[in-house]
Amino acid sequence: MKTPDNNEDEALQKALKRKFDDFAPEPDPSWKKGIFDTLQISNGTAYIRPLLVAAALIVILFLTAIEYDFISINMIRKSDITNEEITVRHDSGWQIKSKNETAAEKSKIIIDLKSSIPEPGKLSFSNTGNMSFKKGKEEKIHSASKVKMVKEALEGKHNEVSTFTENETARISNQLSKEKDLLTDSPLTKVSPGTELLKFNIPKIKPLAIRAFIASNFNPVLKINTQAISRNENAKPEILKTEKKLKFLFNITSMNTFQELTVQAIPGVVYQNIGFPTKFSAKRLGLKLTGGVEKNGFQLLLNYGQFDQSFQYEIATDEFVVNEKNPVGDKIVRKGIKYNENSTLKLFGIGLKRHTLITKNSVFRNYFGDVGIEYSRELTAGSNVIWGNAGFGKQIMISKNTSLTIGPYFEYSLMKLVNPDSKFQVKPYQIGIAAGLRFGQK
Amino acid sequence: MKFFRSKKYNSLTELVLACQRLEPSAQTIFYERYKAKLTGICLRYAKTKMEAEDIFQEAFIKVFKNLNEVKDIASIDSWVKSVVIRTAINYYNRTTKDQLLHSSIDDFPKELESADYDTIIEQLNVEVLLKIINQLPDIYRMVVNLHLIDGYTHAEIGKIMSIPDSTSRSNFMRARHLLMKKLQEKGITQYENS
Repeated sequence: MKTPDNNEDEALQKALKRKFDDFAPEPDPSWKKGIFDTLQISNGTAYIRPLLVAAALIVILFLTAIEYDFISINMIRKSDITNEEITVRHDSGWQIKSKNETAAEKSKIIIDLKSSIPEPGKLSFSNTGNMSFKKGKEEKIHSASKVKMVKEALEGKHNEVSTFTENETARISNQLSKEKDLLTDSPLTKVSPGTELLKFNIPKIKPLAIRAFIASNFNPVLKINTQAISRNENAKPEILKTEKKLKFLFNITSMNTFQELTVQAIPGVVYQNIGFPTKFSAKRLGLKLTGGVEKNGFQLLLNYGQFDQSFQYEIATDEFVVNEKNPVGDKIVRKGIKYNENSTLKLFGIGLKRHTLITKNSVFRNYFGDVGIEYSRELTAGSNVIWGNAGFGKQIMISKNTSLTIGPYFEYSLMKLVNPDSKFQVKPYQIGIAAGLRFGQK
Repeated sequence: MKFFRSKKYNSLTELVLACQRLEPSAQTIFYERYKAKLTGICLRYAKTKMEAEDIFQEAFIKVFKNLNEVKDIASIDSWVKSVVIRTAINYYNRTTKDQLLHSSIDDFPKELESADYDTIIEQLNVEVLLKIINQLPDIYRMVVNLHLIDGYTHAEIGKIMSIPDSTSRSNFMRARHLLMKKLQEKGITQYENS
């Protein structure tokens, strides 16, 4: 049985339900931020910055690859056409030559071989493969193993080059020139380039034996085995340092931002539960673009960077609550009013940096180190910041005029920034990865 | 200019499953779907807009964090609503000081019939009505919201608020009378002004 109160309840219930069923006001936009920040949910635009960084790095690598391929192809074509000398070491008398020149020299060797072949009648071979050369009363006996070794040397299987003392070389040259004079009537002297030696009727003489003989009594010109030299690790060419030319630089740096927070005491205000975003999150990610010039290892750079500064804190109230969920026992917690500080710092500045590249032959060859100082103007609040920075990494030559630098980077603010809202002092420092291109002749 | 086009979710189930996989775009759509309705609930249960904001944020965080526990996705609407209501009640359990509740049932004479209250409520602007509810003491406001608007029984209210059913019932009686008194006052004021 329904009482009058029940009727009133029903009437109220219906009326209120009807009134509030469609009550759905839009929340304040700032409410969302609190939720999504707490949950670390990216809200669309937060994707943009990391993606931009990734895209820029990809573009740099892509351009690098294209340029590397282009330059490589050009270099190969050039060396095919010209006998361009690559590097010269003047002090030792050795020459490292291009492939084309090596080929030319091989041809020359063949011609020299032909012109240096002694009179056939003076060569005699035994059935065991031993070969003897008569020069007056002297007789040289070459073992089959030596022939094999020389053969390998000529065919490039052997890296060692037979070495002769100056006296020996002079003696052999002298001997060969004398022998050559005796060959005027020999059919071999009429050999023209491109004609095979074997076409001539030289009985009892095997081509290999001839080559072995010549190789063991070679002319100084023949001594230059370019293949062997190029493989000879003792003959390391010294890289000529001509770093005085102007270079143009472009860098992109992705950095994780950290901050030292200083809270100044204000009478009557108690701050509590101050917190920062997790160590690795999109909110901490900063981006820096740098462009400039370098001369004599000193870099003058213009840079633009931005990063988020966010933290939260509570201002303690006079209320205390008992936290019943504490497993140890009830804990009295002072209630606080929560505040979130989120601001984006946009910095434009100028910097000076010392760039040092290791060119000596060591495991650290082509590694670089940077140290510098930078002045930046914060564009939103209009404050000034001075940074100290350092970096190191690997410098990779990707073409004659371009190199890629990549490595860790660190910068530390030497000054404190004042947060305009909370008046907290913040000293940021950033750690990240820098990638860049250097243009300009070496 | 939109850099990224939002993913399309063909059904609520797809959306909830995507939220359970912590897809940011799904969480954004989920938020957009429920934000207005939940704001209304928070404003009813809170005393001030600031408190409503606290409850709203705390509730949404709970929703996202506990979404994996939802097995019956078809009942997601009522689950979300219940999370918000429980958050509001917990909020007041944490913060409400002992309030002096001297409102007596016999304090004001009944001059209006039930139909009159219906008329008054109908005529009142929702913001004004909200203000009347907000002005109720915390415990009364809770029980008015729970029983009269959200349709919970006293047994359920007792369970939610960790109080006996009878306490809920007596709280409601007092709350209802206080509400009617305020409505009556408001109705008269409005009548006099009109």
